[in-house]
Amino acid sequence: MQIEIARMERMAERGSSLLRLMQNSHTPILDLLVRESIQNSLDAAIDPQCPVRYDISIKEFNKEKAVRHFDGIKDKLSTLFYENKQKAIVIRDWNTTGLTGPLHYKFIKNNNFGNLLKLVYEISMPQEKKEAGGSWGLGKTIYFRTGIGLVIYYSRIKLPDGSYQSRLAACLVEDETKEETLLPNNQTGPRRGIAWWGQQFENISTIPLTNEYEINEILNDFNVKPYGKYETGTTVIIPFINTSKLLFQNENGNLSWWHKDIELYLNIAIQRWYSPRIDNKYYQYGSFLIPSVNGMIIDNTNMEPVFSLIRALYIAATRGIDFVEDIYKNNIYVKNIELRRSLSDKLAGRVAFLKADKDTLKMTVPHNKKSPFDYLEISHIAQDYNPPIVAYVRKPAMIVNYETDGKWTNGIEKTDSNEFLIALFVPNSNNAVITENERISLDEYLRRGERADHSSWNDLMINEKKYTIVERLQKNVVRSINEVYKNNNEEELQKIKSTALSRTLARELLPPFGFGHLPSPRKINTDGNKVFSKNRAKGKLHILETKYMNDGKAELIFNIDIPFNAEMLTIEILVDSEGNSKISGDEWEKDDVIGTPFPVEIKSLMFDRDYEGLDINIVRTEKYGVKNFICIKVNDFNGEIKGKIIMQKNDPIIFAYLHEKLHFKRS
Amino acid sequence: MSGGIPFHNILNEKLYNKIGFTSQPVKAFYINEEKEKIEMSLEPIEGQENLYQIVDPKVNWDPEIHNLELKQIFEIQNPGFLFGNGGLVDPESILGIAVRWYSKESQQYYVYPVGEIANFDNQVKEYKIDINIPKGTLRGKVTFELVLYLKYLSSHTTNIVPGTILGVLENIQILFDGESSIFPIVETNDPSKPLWWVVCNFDDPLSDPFGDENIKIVINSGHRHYKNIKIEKGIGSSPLLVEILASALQLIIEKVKSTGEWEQILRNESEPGSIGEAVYYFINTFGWDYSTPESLARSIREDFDQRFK
Repeated sequence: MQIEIARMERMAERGSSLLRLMQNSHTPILDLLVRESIQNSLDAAIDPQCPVRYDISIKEFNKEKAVRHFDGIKDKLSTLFYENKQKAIVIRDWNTTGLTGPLHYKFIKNNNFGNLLKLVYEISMPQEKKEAGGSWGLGKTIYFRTGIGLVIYYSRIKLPDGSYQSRLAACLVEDETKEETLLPNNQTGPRRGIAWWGQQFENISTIPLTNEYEINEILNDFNVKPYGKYETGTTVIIPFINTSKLLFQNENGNLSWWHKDIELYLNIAIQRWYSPRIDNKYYQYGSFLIPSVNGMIIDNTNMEPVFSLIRALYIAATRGIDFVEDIYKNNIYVKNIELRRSLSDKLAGRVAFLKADKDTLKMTVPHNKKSPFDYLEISHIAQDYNPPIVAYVRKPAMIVNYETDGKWTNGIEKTDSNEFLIALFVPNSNNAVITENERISLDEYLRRGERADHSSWNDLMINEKKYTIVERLQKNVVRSINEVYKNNNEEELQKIKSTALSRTLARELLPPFGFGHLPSPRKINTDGNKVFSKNRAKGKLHILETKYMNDGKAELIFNIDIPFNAEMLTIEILVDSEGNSKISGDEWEKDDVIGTPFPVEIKSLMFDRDYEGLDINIVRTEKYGVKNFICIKVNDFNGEIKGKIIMQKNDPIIFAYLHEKLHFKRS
Repeated sequence: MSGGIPFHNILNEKLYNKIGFTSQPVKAFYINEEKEKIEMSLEPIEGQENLYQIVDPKVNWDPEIHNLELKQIFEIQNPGFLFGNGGLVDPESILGIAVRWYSKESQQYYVYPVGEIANFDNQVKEYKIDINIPKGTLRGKVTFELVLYLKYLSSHTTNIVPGTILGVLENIQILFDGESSIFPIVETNDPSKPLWWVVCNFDDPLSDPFGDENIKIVINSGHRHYKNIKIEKGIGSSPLLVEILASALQLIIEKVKSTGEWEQILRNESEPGSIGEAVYYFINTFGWDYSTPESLARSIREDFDQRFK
């Protein structure tokens, strides 16, 4: 393949700076590689109904055959690696789109770079897909840090016209400041330490190979099979790896079995970070994952117990405890995590957790599995207790991190050494964060607050306003777990309330209302409470004076202030019925209710003067024709009217009411 | 709904003015643990018309623990106007006077008869109210009314039945708890624990209520120095309690300051009733200087010296 050495440009990254980017010293390289590569595969899924297949393998290849494809560095490579048998990590996915998009910058339309240019030729190009797994475009630098900096990208895609195309290119990123570099040193001036291989394009540039024959020859030399005729996907080959260097050694040298073999290590690493999405047909945001190492598929039947349990916690948090296998079901708790503000729906997510004993985790004979701390690569030396483990995920269901100290666990009681408290927080991803002028989902908020290595969540400033969603989530998770497990001994004593003291201090130190009561306080409206209220609300009927006349008649002088835009005023007599309800005339006269004439009648209605425009009617009950209903059409009148109603009651026991109602114009 | 239509006369303003009703302030008492009768005061609640609370100088009275005795003297100078033409009932009927009290919160309704008025005693009538309300019945906002009702019906009257309320002479409302603010201070009794401490259980000072589920000052009555907290005449009569409060509030403010929400609290963006709103109220209303821990400690005490004399 033709070499294209990156020219020096302003503001351009150099190999040394790329390799330093996203230095995550606390996560081993193979873990970062697994996290990044699976995320890329999942983000490229074609059909959410169809699981994404992912494989990571260690393949041997023949050095002499392989190096001949890399113009410009063949000899250096050949001398640098003495052994003819070399190893490569080969990462391959299926049911994915592959590296689509333009083959060269010249073909870019609408600033649409496409997957190919972004992955192979660009750096720090963020994902366009919101809430995608990655976000910073820096994750792929891990490919360069895994081997010697040389990475071969092979992909098969479906073109917009329906035909298929294979693409292959290589990229090298090396520290240009080192004395021994792979790239030729014959340039004068500064070097960048970056090069690509492919087919020549317009003299000074290259594009990926697309010739199937040439591609197959290279694949063959790396011992990699081409995709089938109708398959699409991406394969990343990282040659010249040093397996013993990649298998990191932990400090005390007490290595678990998976540290002895890179394939075993990869198997555990895949489970460590992706257990919620592996073999999980309940996963609701897209394709679930079927991963394999050297072709050996990882599924729920062969996952390590602790990871199978974390997968169960995810299912419990997202679908409910009923969907979980019986062995975990009875011990799992799921609690809603609610935030009272900042979100459009208060449900911020759910935390699922349990205390698992050594039997559940198969740490006993005959299985003798390692402790969760070993599987999670968390150093834990104390013998007599176990700290709680809290993990958290976003939509992609990759574990962001496992925490045993810090804000996710502060205040949760340690368990004794026979028990492990394991919790998983799953956000209500589609919930919206309330901001002034931007609509972002909770998942997007959390993604933006992840560092480039996606290893923790941090709160954001949006429009110069600091948010504290993550901080509150953490406290809430701690509290929810404590509510289930914490002994309440301490609290039990505090039953005696000091009411008099509380009240006196409230009087001295707080406003009169609104503190110390749930639900949220409301203002008391005492509207005067004088014996004789002068309060006159608009549109309400006010009885100014009543006079009882000895013949059973009562005279009521009333006024009412008719507001603008009213259309009609009705005044109806109702009488008390059983159970605090009031019944109308027509109701009373029904045979199955009382069946006698309504006992209160309007004898006369007079006004203190002639109100122009008022159209007054007194309506009778349907059956016995008792006048009990006043209907006043307002006809653009507004203002106060005053009048007198004389009523007769024919039954001393009943109690009558006046009920007024204003009807407004529709406009 | 405009209320009932009275097919009888009721006490209107005109008649009320004619009869000459006057009353003295309501007095409140309780019997404390030492069998002393303690007089309390009824103090109007700021900004609320006709709404009072009962204040015990010893800061001890609790309507759940102690009975409440209410006393009042009132007189009606011209009771004759209540009878006959222009009055409430015919001259041969007899009216009763009663105190009734009710509250929605405690779902209680009680009536205590106080006396009666007949047409023939047309002279100044003085009445004494002395009612004893059992503990555990008063909750929330309670309305006390002095009412006139028909006690005995003469043969001339057919339109009303005895017991009908014909008018209200006076009413007041007393707030016992319910909606008035409560300061989160609780007592415990455990000789093995210190005299006081503070519990902070909140996640979010901007929205978590300033109540004892989220934050509280705990006073330990089992501690050997608890007797030194004794209050004789208001909070200021216990310097130890004032000192505890000052320290506890400083601690609470420093704790709230250390959360990420301090800027929003200072802009008063907290929810009503929240811890943030309470802290905002303290530092703004009382002028506490929160700029450094030592200035806060000092300014709280300067304020308390004035506040709790």
